[in-house]
Amino acid sequence: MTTLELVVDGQTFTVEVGDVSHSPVTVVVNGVTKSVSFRDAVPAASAAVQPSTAPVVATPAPAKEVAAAVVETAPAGSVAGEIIVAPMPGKILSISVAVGQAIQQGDAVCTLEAMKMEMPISATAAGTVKAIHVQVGETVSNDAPLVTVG
Amino acid sequence: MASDSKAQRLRQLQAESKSGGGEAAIEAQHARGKKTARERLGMLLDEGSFQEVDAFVTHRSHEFGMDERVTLGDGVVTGYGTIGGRLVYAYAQDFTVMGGSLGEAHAAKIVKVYDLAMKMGAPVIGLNDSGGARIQEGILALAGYGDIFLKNSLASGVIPQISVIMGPCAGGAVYSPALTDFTVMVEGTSHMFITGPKVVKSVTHEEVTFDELGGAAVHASQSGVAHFTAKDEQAALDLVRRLVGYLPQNNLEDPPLVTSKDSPVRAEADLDAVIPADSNTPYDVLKVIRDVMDRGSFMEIHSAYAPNMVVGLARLDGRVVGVVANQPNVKAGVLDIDASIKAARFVRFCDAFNIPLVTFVDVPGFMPGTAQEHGGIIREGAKLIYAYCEATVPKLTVVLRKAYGGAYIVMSSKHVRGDYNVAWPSAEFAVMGPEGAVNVIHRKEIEESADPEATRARRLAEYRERFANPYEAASRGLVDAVIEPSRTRPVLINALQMLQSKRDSVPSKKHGNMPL
Repeated sequence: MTTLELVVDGQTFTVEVGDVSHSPVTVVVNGVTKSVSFRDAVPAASAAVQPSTAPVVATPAPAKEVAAAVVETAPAGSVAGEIIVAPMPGKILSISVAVGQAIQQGDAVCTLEAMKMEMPISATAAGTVKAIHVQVGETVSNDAPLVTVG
Repeated sequence: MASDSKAQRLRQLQAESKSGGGEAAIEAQHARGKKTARERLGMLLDEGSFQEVDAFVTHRSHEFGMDERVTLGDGVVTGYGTIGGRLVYAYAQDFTVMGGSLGEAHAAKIVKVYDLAMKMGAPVIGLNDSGGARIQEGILALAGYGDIFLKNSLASGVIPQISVIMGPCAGGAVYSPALTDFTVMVEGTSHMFITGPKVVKSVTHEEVTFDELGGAAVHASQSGVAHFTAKDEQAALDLVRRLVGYLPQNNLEDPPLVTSKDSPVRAEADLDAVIPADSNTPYDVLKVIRDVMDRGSFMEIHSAYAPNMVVGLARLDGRVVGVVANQPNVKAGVLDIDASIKAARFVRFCDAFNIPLVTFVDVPGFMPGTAQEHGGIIREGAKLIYAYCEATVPKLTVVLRKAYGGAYIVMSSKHVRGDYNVAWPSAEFAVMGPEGAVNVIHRKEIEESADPEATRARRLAEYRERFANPYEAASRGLVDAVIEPSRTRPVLINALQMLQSKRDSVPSKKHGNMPL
């Protein structure tokens, strides 16, 4: 395991990252074991901690960006808001929200096409759209982060 | 005088037995938001109907100072009563007595209730609230679990068995509920796991709370262990009372018939418009189910687990039916591992207890991908085929829209002994979706044509015209009728009536080798 020290909002996280050649990857954050999947193809080991394709984050602190992109299920505090994930693998047909937009729980955030069905993906929480992790036309895997709402 | 003192002794013992673990323990139980075993039985059964058995049974252990800790009843209240006037057997573990721990005598009381229920052919309802095996009794406590598992297994498919988890249920104790037909968990106060958070931490280094590991929400949505959850104990027991109303007393009886207030010939104009014009647009199959079944009669089971498949009990003109339906609103209604297991278990339950099946089909196929293939979709999907093939209860099938590929065959098609299969005009029977099919059949022609897109579009239109409808299937007799959606209810009620005298069988055998 590679051990990293990340400082987010003044708080230090000791992050141990397991074998990154396969998704999901085992990540231990301050002793808590998490299973993490990548939203794109599995990147090289170096990219795992420094993702080249950072998500669109409204007001990103660099360390926070890493945490948001890599550790989906990180402990509260290191990820700003709730991440809406893909319920199944598919293609993004449209995105109906913009960063900074206020949305209600149940509002459609994007449309995912899978198994010949165009499925509206709705917000699992109310709040402001903090980040959009996908683009129209992109293929996403199961549980891939789509939108972060905070 | 002598008889007075004898009567007094009896009353004293009765009072002692009723007091369970004593006032302090009862107060602690209430403080946790939990009722006592007797209070729960009072809420579950018709008022005043409970008759206790074995109130004076005690354990026989002398180890570790156990001879000083003898409680009449030994931590479980057992007996019988009625729900809606029908006989049921019930046991309720008493957490106020040594944490509801299970020892030899405690287990023997549960076994006795099962023996009575099997002789009389009546359901058993177990209210679980136990810290686990009574360690002081050692191997005898384990033996007690084993005896209960045997009763659960032998009773399976003979009498309905329902488990309600109203406190901790850990270790070996979890397997008795798992062997029963339905498990209900109370939110917040109930937990089920093989090993608790402490052991988990020492073995796998995962830090997890009781709720995250084995709470009601997790078991209802992730593991599928819980068929139902309820916000509190009252709601859980009300739910059990309702559920029992759909079940026969045993496998030789039919489920209770009620007089329906809903018209059997009610046509539902809404249904003519429920299928979206574009076959790629999802809709809620629950609306179809609710509109077709007797108003308010649909009781969904496993609603949070594999919601791309809907199963539940309902009534059609007062007759109980088991409903199985693909849900286009969730994951396109695809058949995946969890959906297959969920529906297979439900189909087998219905078949065991003489509950006719009504299947609503809108299925795009089996879920592709490594996660599903490596997870065993071949084995798991086979369970659903097996369950439908084996079932001899009346089987009604309504194809709403997509009936694609092998998934169409699985979903109560004629080939798995569907008795009466109808299709809506929106039905599409095909080996695969039109786009996929055209790309395979006409690949060469499309590639070589001057305008590939125009050729593809023309071939697509041809294919749709030919196969994306129910008439090819109807011409082969693979559906018995094509019906207007609004008439689905009267058509199904009529067919169910026609099927009342159905006799079908499977070849005589010890048992099949279901792909478990």
